[in-house]
Amino acid sequence: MNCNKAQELISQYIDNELSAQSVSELLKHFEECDKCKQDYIMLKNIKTVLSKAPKKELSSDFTASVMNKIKSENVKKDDNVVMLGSFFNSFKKKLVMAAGFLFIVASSSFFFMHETGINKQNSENYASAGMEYYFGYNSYYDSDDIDDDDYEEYISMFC
Amino acid sequence: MEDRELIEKIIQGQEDLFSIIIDKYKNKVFSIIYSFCGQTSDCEDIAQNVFIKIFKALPKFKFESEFSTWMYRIVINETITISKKKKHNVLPLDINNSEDEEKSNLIDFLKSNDNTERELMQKETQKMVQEALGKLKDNYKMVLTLRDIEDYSYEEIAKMMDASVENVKIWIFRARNRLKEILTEGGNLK
Repeated sequence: MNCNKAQELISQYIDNELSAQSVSELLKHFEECDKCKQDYIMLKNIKTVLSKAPKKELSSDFTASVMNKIKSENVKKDDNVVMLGSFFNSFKKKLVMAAGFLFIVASSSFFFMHETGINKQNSENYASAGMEYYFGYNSYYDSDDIDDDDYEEYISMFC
Repeated sequence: MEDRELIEKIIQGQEDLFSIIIDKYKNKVFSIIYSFCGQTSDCEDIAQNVFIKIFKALPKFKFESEFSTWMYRIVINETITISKKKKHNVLPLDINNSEDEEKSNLIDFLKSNDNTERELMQKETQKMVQEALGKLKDNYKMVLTLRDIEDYSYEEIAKMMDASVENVKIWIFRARNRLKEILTEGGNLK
């Protein structure tokens, strides 16, 4: 067993979560490696310190206080609570909003181009950049497989 | 009365029954909050707010898991969220400013295999380890709180944090090593 593997197992050994076989291998490693043995002792001591952390009793009227708050504030049962999935739900909402915003910006740009009278040639220049995606070719002029109707349809999207 | 039956009745309007839920879980919930929040004086207020959150969220409980599992997820998330908001109230980490001799003594002490439990409970040792714990990232701090202070099993922690047991093992391993680094090197490591 090397030190990296031993370090991984120390934490589980402290928690009594290792198999007998792994424990045996780890103890054998400790005989050969003082550094890992020292780390084990220190981590075990830290765990013991934490396990002896001071505790505090709740006040005897805790339950009554919570119930009074619920009644006096007329607390409504609602959905406003932080759950693990809420971040992702919130993220989805933001993603949809961002997509909507981009769509509006993109639509507005094309509308603006159309309204400001960009000529067909310029539009073709803009359009050629997207031809690879639309037709699967780098340029209209590179392919004999695209007929004029397809091209006109494609260009019509831009002007 | 089982939790399931109680929750159904509370949702249907018998809200006074929520006091039974509070009585059943309040000590464990408060203990987690108290341990996680660095034993600050306002832990009881936080616990009250957490129970109010649970009450408000009851209609969202789908009875697909144990009520306690669902409830502890709220407890953990709310505790971390509230703790972040109240960070200024938590005891500041003072390890960097601790006297070198004191720090050195602590490290020697923690490296020794001859300590009695009584010695490990000494107030100064507790304070320095607790302060180092307070400097961990929230999820690392939470897994160590649940494992080492509250003594929950890996499986219980996995359910409470909505994670796999393997992830919990990795978090605990990393959290302990980070805690060791903070204690031995003053917490300056990234």
